[in-house]
Amino acid sequence: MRNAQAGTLESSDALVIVAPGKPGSGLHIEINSIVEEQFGDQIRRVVEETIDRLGVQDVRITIQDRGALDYCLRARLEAALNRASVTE
Amino acid sequence: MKVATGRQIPDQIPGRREVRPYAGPFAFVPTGVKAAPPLSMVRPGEKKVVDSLREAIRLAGLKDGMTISFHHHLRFGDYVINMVLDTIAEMGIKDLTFTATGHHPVPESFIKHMENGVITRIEHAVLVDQLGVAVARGLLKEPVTIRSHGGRPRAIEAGEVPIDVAFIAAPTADTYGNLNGIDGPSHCGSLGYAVADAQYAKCAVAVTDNLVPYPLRHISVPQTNVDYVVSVSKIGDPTKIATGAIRKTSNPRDILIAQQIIKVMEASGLVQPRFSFQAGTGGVSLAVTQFLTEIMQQRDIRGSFLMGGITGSTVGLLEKGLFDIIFDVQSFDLDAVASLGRNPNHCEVSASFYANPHNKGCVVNLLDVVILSALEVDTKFNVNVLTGSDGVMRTGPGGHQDTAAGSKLTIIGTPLLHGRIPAIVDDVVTVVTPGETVDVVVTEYGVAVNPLRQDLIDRMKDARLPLASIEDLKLKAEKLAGKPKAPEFTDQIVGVVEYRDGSVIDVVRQPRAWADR
Amino acid sequence: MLFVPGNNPSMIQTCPIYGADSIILDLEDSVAVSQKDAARRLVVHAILELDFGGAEIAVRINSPLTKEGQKDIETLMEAAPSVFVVPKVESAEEILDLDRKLSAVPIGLIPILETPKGVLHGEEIASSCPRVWALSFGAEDYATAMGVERTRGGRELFTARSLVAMQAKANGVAALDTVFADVNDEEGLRNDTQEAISLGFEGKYAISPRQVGIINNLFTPQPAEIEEAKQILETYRSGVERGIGAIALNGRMIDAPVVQRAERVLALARAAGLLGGGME
Repeated sequence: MRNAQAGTLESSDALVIVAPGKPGSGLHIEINSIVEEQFGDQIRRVVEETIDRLGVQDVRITIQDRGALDYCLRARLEAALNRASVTE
Repeated sequence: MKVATGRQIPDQIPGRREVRPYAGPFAFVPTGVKAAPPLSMVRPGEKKVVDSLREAIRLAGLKDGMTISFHHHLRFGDYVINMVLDTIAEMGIKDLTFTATGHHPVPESFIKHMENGVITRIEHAVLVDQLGVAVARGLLKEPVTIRSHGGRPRAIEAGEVPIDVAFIAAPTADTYGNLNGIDGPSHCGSLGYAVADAQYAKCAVAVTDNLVPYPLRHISVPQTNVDYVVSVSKIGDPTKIATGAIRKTSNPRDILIAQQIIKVMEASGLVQPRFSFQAGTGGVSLAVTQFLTEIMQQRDIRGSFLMGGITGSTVGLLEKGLFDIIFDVQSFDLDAVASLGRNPNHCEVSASFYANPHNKGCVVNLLDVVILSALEVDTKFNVNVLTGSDGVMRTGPGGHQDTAAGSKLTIIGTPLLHGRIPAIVDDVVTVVTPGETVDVVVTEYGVAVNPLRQDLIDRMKDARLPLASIEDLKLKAEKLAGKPKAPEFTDQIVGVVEYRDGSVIDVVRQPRAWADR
Repeated sequence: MLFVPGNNPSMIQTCPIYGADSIILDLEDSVAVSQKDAARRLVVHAILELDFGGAEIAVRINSPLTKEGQKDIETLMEAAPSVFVVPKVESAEEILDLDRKLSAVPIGLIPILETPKGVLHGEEIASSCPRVWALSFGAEDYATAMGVERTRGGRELFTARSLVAMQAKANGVAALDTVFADVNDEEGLRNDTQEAISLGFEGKYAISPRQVGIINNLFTPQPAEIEEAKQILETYRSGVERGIGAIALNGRMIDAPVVQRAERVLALARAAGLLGGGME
């Protein structure tokens, strides 16, 4: 796995950055969102579900969110992971 | 105690002598007489022009604990407010009550004055930018009082806000204190929000960057209400005071909402000769004004008066002969400023004339249709135009309560979501405008009519509108965005929302997220 | 039919409100080459998770002759939009290859003919496979391929455009007209749409929400037209009932083509929600 990102900082989008973690380090999520208080938990849930579904291990996910809806977060995360050559 | 909207408010609120609960838009009838400033005298030969702001403040007798006031006609281009506060702070005066009529720049220095105790109480109409955050942090001794554009002059005239020194930014002033906003490099148009302050303050200081020889021809604030005149190099940034005319919006979603609003207006039967109209200055309002122009031209309808944020768009309606008169309490762009200066049918009016419920009749009583926006609307049609969904005060009622109460038809035009935040909710964070005064909510996903208006519902049946219940709109918003986490609050009250009649309609508590910062 | 850039979440999630009959999520020209992979994922999730109201969902894939196009097809098959809009089609072969690849997945095809070769092979392309719902004409790329400037009158497009409409009609598929690129020129759009209608096109692509309203209005019959259609059908039906051989209305013969045209007008009116109760 290598570092990769997908998405933009446009309104209703999110910039998702993926970086490999040390073996055994697990899943680390850092969220920076314009709707932190209202949807921070929801964003975290979506990331966890997606990582779980794809069976990805030991990864650092950073999200710069501009109000992206769930479908967009999933898509950007998958695209970033693809680019990091983790999944197909 | 419970207010008429069903909300609970505390029986007692720190800093407030009386808590009269909101009981309905026209339930309360005022008694007593108006307040008045002290008598005064100026002899022939005495001069009003003073060398410096510092000197004016000294002559005005400003002391610790007093109340100072400002208008917001220079909007985000205003320099006067912060210039005056900085000077006052330098002079070592503190513990002041700050009252203003609308939005203005809030730089670091302003917040510092709050932290340092120069300003300890605030009465305001709009809390933009860092001001709302500072209040959320609990920087003030007492809760901020939020009043509408009609409620503020009401309170001033009733003596509830005794102003010691009113600082009036004047784009043009003559040497004896006649003021207007039409001429000068920092011209802003109407000075309607400054009138009550000038009339009722113990002392009024005009601050101008365009001092002219006596006398002024167009007088918005007369010499009989002004004590001192100070000349400074610049009272504001012209590029931020009045923008170039914005006549059109190209946002397709705003255009869609505007199209639906027009259909609602037509179905209501109110678009008739002699009808009166008010819209805001946002994209939806601009588009509605544009469509209205086309319809009125096609059907050869002539309206009576226009109110609201006056822009080139509004001026266009007047110049095309589609309306007789514009009542201008605030001019937003250069087209509006120019029109006020030259067109006798473009009339400057005060905030009291516009919206004060406790005089012999204000303009909003005669309004047929008003188009408003909202941060949030709930399933009872209550509107929040104050707090964001995180509980921080970020804007203010402006003329919302007033126009909604007075107008025959009150339409809220809003997108279903603001970014990811639902605009239609179960319960608004803060009730500013009560649901019983709101008739129709128009979003890009549907139109909801207040069940209290069966007459309107009947009229809209054949209008081919995407009618929906307000509950369905709320569900749609939740389905699209997900359900946001509700903000948590501490018990500390940081804001009191007055209804236009001086009753308390809601309170704002401190958001827990800001309690520890 | 509204084109929506496939890498733009804001536009994708708001497009259902504009009343377009179908929404085309675009992976081709409106998406930068470096972002085509991200756009692909965004479009898949949008189709699977968003509610597009009653609109039909189409995806304009990259040309199947490209690697991106092949990836689009494999990925989008899982999301199964109603139709793929296929750019720069030049032969029936391309359509048949695509048909095979799609196997049992019920995705329709709308080829865009936007090169001289494509336009000339329109006949075989239209009839190549039952998946083909419509033929589309693409003016921008056609003009480029021909090496000609686009003019306001569009004379340089006339033959190709009429040909595509003819080929569509001759093979029982719909004819869809090209995009009008200048979003600020409403009068130009109106003229272009009128031209398309007069050449027999049944629909036209829009690239902005404002265009949708204008195009829909022009394709929707006027009240006078609807009235006349109703009268024609009324007269025809009563004539048939009474066993009249030659049925006429206002001195005009009502024969089969006239009846069919009237029925089409009413169908369009009904689709636009213009028919109340009563005559159907």
